[in-house]
Amino acid sequence: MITIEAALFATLRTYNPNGESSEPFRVQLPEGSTIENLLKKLNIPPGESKQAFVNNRRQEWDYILQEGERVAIFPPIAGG
Amino acid sequence: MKFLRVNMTERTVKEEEVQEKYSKMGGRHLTSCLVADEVPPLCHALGPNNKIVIAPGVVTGTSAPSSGRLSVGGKSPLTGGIKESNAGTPFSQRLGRLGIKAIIIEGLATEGLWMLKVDKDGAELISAENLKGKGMYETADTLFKEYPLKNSSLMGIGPSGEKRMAMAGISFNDPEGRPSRYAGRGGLGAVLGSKGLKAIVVNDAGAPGVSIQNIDLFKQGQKKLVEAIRTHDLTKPGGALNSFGTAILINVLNEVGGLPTRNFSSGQFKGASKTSGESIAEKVKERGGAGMMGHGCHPGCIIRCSNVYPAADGSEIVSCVEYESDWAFGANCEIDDLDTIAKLIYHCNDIGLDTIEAGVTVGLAMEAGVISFGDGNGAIDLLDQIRTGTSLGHILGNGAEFTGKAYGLTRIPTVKRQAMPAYEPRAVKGIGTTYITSPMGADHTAGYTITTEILSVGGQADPLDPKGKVELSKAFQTATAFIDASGYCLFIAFPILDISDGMEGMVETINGVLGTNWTVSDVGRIGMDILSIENDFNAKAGFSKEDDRPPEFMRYEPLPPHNVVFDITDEELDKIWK
Ligand code: SF4
Repeated sequence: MITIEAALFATLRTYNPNGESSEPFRVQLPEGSTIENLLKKLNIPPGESKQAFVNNRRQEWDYILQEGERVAIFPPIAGG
Repeated sequence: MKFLRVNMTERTVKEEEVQEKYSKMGGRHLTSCLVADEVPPLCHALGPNNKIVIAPGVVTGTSAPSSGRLSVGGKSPLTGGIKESNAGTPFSQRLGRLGIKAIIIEGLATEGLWMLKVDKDGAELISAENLKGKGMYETADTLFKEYPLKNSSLMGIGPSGEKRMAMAGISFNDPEGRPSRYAGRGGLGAVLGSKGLKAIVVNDAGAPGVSIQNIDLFKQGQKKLVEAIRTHDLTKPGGALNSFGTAILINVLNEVGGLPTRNFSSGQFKGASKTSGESIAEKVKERGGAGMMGHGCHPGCIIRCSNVYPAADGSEIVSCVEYESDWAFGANCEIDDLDTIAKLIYHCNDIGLDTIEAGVTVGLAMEAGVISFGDGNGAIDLLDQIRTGTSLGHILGNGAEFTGKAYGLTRIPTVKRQAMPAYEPRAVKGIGTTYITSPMGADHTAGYTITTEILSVGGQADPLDPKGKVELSKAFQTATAFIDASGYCLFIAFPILDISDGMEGMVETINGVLGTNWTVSDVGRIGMDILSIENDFNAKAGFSKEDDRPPEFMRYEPLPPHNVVFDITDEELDKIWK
């Protein structure tokens, strides 16, 4: 198993297992898990998330997570 | 359609027919063209030869969605170059409906303080001595008592504009009469101050409305554009902009290490999430009262990205806490308390300041040790000094570069003497390219590459990769110049970049109004024309390619967390306008 840190933003905050918040939380996953696996584990329906950043860089859904990494997941957002 | 020409020296107002040359122009196209034609590029920005041009966009005043924008143009006392500053406000819609294509303000009043009254029967200058030194909230209260909000809108300057400070913006009212919508950038408020013009009140009762050449085409375009805005995730009702406002960007910029922090010394702020759009929405929900998300800057905006931020007791602190202002006093000054940030924004609105220039300047004062980083009350005191015009207030009021120099600092985040907004060029290189090469000086709205670099809308680009960023910035800058001329809010770019019907719809509404036959491919051509006019003015004002450069420290000081410098070469940057 690996432990990663996850954070969910904007409308995705409701999927935070500790209650609606953008505070980071720890998640345990089997080794070799992808971001997609993480979304599934957090019950985030496909299509609700738009982008994921791992340690400050955007990664694809099939990115394989490593021990200790931080994953931030965002729905579609904009501003300016 | 007509121009109103106001001569402050002679104290006269004349109506002029619109020459053929200007007949298809609006917004930024018209302000930049008139400034280039009428203002000597080498004139002193606060002297008798500079002019202020105010122009609603082409479709402004019609029922086209989110189209209540206007441009204010002139020679900038901050940058020394041409300036177009843009705001969304009912003021612009009233001008459009009165058939006023532009107000041109020239000359200098030899005595007194004045305001201009405009209605369907004409315009006149009347004394505004009673408003001398007044903040914008009191100014708005006084004027709306006499000219009720139902038919009237207001433009004005605060004490900073009257004192001719280079960070003074121009205030316009929102639908509820707050003087909170700003054509903030570039110090054009100081130009109005130099001319002795405190305010303009526009009443559109009995106005003829915008004349539309082909109403069927206009309606067809309008329908397509409304559909695109209403279906796109970012702009639909309950979508990102509507629910969280623009400050929803705080967390994502922080996550990618591109949120300028502690006067551009880091790309991440520990207190980011406390100042985020999510936190604003939570506070609004918890506190209720006057608070609201989904506020619009003018009637007819169907995106509504603005908000009203409430105090703990539900009373209103300010409208609105948007991304740039939130960041300028938040991460940039390391203030992590939203209530304090909201108060600072209120003071800026009242004093008449550009929040970006003001926040970056306060950050520099913090770096210089005038006050400490994170000191919210100290920051309020500095703004008060600008309001009252102490010696320190006059230094600060002249902006980031002036203040940085006064204290012998090297980390001064400006381009062409204008303070950088809320995206770090070293971590997000396309937007850095826009800051550096825009004729406006450091300005994010001039070519918003964040769209692809950070938001993955309309394509995707790696923010850290220098490759292709000059082309990307150029494409955004040209399309933006066109949108700034149209009267549409820049945020329609999100849906129309992804939904081609929406893009077509936008062009059709413009063709409908003007009777033109433009296609989507004309967008870039017209945008480029506008930029050429602006670059040409700047060249005559003494700018050269050496002004299209990042501040030196960004070349040698690595920015955490990625520890990168700005690495697009000068040669690459120079290719942009070739
Ligand atoms: S989206 Fe926001 S800034 Fe644009 S017109 Fe609407 S309220 Fe104003």
